[in-house]
Amino acid sequence: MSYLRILIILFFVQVSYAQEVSLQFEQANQVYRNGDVQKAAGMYEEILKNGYESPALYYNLGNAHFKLNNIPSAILNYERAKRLAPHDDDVSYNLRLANLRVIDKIEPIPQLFFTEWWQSIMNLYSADGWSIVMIIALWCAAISFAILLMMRSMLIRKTSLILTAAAVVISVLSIVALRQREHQEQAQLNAIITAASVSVKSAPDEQSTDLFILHEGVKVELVDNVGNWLKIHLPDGKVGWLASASLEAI
Amino acid sequence: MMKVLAVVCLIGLFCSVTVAMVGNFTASVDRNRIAMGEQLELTFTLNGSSSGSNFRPPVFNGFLTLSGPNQSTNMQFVNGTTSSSISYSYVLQPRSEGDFTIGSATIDFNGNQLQTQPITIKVVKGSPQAKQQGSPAEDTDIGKQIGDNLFLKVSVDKSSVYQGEQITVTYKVYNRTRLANLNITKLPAMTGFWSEDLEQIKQVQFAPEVVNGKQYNVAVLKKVALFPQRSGSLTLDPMDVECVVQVQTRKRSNDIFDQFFNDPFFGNQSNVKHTIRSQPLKITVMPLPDAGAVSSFGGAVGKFSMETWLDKQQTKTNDPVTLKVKISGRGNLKLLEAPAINVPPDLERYDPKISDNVTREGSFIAGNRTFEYLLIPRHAGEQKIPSFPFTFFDVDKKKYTTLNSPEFVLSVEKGSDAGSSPVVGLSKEDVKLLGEDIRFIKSGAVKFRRKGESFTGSPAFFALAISPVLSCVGLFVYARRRRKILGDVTGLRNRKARKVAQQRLVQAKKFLQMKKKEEFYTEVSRALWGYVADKLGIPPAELSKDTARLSLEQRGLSVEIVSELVAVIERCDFARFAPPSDSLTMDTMYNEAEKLISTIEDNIR
Repeated sequence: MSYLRILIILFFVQVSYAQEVSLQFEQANQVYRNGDVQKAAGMYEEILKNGYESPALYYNLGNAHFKLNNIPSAILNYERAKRLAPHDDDVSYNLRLANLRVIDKIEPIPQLFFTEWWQSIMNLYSADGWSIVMIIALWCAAISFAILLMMRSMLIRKTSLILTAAAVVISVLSIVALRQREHQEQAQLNAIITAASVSVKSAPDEQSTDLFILHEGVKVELVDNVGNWLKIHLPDGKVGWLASASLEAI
Repeated sequence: MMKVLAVVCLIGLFCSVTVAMVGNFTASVDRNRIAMGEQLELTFTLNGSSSGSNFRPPVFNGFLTLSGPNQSTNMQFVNGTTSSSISYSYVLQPRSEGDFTIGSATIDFNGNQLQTQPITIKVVKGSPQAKQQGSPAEDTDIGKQIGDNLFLKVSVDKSSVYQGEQITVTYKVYNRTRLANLNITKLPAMTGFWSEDLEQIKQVQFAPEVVNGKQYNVAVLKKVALFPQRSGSLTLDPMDVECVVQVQTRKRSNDIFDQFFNDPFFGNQSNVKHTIRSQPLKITVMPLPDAGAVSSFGGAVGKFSMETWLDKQQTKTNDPVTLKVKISGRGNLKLLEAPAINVPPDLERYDPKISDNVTREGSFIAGNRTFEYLLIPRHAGEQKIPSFPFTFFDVDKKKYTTLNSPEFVLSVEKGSDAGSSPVVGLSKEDVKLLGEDIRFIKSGAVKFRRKGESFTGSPAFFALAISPVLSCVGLFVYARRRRKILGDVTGLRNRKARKVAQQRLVQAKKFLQMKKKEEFYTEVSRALWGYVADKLGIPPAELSKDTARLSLEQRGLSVEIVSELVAVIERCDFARFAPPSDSLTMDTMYNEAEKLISTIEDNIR
C-alpha cells in the first residue's frame, strides 16, 4: 500500500512540474508574441535546460532562431522537433524554409522505392505512437484468439482466425517500426553543422587532406567517432571526418 | 676606284737603265686560305724591270674583283745597283666556297712572253672576321687605313652560365683614329634572353687604355645584363656601329705630292663613314640541375627574399582583402612566376596584379616584383590561407632554396548585406518561397516530458504489451485442458466410430468364412450398435432402439435409413438364435451392414 502511495505522490509531483513547465512555456510564447524574440529564445532554452522537451518547444525555439537569422540553430531545433513529431506539418514546412537558406545543396541519392515506403510508414508515428499501435494490435490479436478458442460456430471461428493473423502481423510490423523509431529518437544519428564553414577531412587528423567544404546548417549523418572526430555521411554519399566542435547532434 | 701607284724616283730619272735583266714574273697572294666574305690580295710582280707591256690578267673564276688592276712601280737602289719592279694588284672576294685556281697572267718583256704560275686558293665557309660592308675599293682603302685603329669589342663576364643566371655583356669601342661621331646602327637582337640595360649611356666617354702596347681611347657603348631563357648554345648577334672618321683621302691621280705627303697634316681630310661590327658571341647556357628540382620552382634564379602580408586580418563577407607577395633580390626578376597559392574555396581568388621595380646594384639587376592577389571572402568563418612555398635557384650555392610564407588566418564576419551573398542552387520557385515567412509558434496545451523519457520501454508499456500475449497463452492452455476433460471420449469415439465398425465387420467376415453363424451375427450386430453409439456419443449400455432412432433422426438422418438400420439390427438378433441359414443370407447381411455404415457416415451431421 505504501508503494502505491509513493507512486501516487510521485505522479502528482510530476503533474505539478509539468504544469509549471507549461506555464513557463506560455510565458515564453507571450514574450515571443510581444516581439522580444531573443528573450523568448532564452526562455525556451531554459525549459530545455530543466530537462523537459516537447516538439512544440523545439519548434518555437527554432522559430525564434530563425527570426534571429541564426539558421543552423533553427534547423537544429526543427530537426529535433521533427524527431519527436515526424508528421507535424508546421515543423516540416519551417524546416524546409530554413533549409533554403543553407548554402550547400546536397542531392540525396535516390533510395529504393521499398525503403522509401518503409521510411514513410515508419515516420507515421513517433516511437510512443508505435507503442500504442503495437499494444492495440496485440490486444486485438488476443481477443480474436479468445473468440477463436471459445466459439463453436465455423463462420465465427474462421473470421476470428483471420483477424488474429492480421493483428499479429500488424503488431510485429509495429514492433519493428517502434524499434527503428526509438533508435532514431534516442541515438544521435544525425547532426547539423554549426560552424560557418568547415573543411571535411579525409581522416580524423588535422593534417589530412581536405575533401570538401560544408557550410552551416547542413544535416549530416553520424557514422562513427574517434576521439574528438566524427565520421560523417552526406545524403549524396560523401563521407569524411569532422571535428566534433563544428557540429551539433540533433 | 682605280688607283694607280706610280713611284717615280727623282734620282732614277737621271740614271740610265743600264742593267738589263731577265725578267721574273710571279704571282702572289697574301694567303692561300680565306673564308667567305674575306678579301684576297693578289699581286703579279715583274721584277727587274718596270717596263713590261701588254699585261694580260687571267680570268678570275669564282672571285669578284673588288679593285684592280692597280699598277705600281718600285725602284730601289741598293749599294749602287738599281732594281725596279712593276706590280699589278687586285683585291678579290670569293663568290663561293671551294678550291679555286687563279690562272696565269702573261706579260711581254723584252720580246719574251712571261707567264706566272697558277695559284690555288681554298675558300672556306663563314668568316669569324667582320667583313667589310659594301666593300667598294674606296672603303677597303679606308678600312686599311683605319685597320686596327678603330674596332668594337664585346666582352662578357662569364661565358658559361646557368639558365636564368645573369651575364653582363659590355660593348666597347677602341679608337685610335680621329673619330668624329659614332652611331649605333644595329643593336644586337638578344634572342633567347631577357635583357636589361645596366647603364644608360647618353654620352660616350672615352678613356685612355693601353692594348697590346698601343694606346687607345676606349668607351663603353653598351652594358647590358642578360638572362638566358633557355639552355644550350646561344649566340649574341654582332652590334653595328657607324663611325664617322676623319681620314685622308688620296687622289687617283699620279700627284706625287700626295705620295710624299701622305700624312694627315698635308692630306686631304674628309669625313668617311665606316661601319665597325662586333664579333658574334657564343654563350653556353647550362640547364638548371634537375636534382632537387622542386615542384614550387617557377624559374627564379638568383638570390631572393620573400615578404607576404594581408592588408587586413578581419573582414566581412564580400569585402575584399589583398594578399601581397613581394619577392625582392637579385636575379631574373621579370621572369618570376607567381607562386601558387592555395586559398580555401570560400575565398574567391583573382589573378594577381604584378608590379615590378627593377633597380641596378652595381653590375647586377636587382629590385622586387610584387604579386597582389585580390581575395573576396564569400562566406563567414575563419578562413585559413595555408603557407605556400617560393623556390629559387641560388646561383652562388648552386642549389635550390625554398622560402615559405607564413600561414594567414582571416576571420570573416557576416557582412551586413547578407542579401547580396549568392544563394546557391535555388530554383525560381524556391526563391519565391524564400519570400514567405515561417509558420507561427505553437502554443496552448502542450505536453511536456522529461528528456529521454518515453512511454516506450516504460513499465506500463511492458505491462500493456505483455499482458495480451500472456492471456492468449493462458487461454490456449485452458482450452486444451478443458477439451481433454470434456471432449476426449465422445470426440475420439465419434472420429474413430467408422474405423471400429470396420474392424468388427472384418472379424464378422472371418466368422462367415468359418461358417460360425452365431458369432457372425453377434459381430455384425455389435458393429452396427457400436457405430451408432460412438457416433451419438452415448454409451452403448444406455442406448435403446427408441433413443437411437430419435437421436439419429435429430442428426439429420432420414426415417428410411434409420428404419433400415433398426430392421437390420433386429434381423441380426433374430438370426442369431434362428435355425441355421445358408451362407447366402449371411453374405447379404454383411453387405447390407457395410452399406448402412457408409450411408450413415455420409449423411450424419
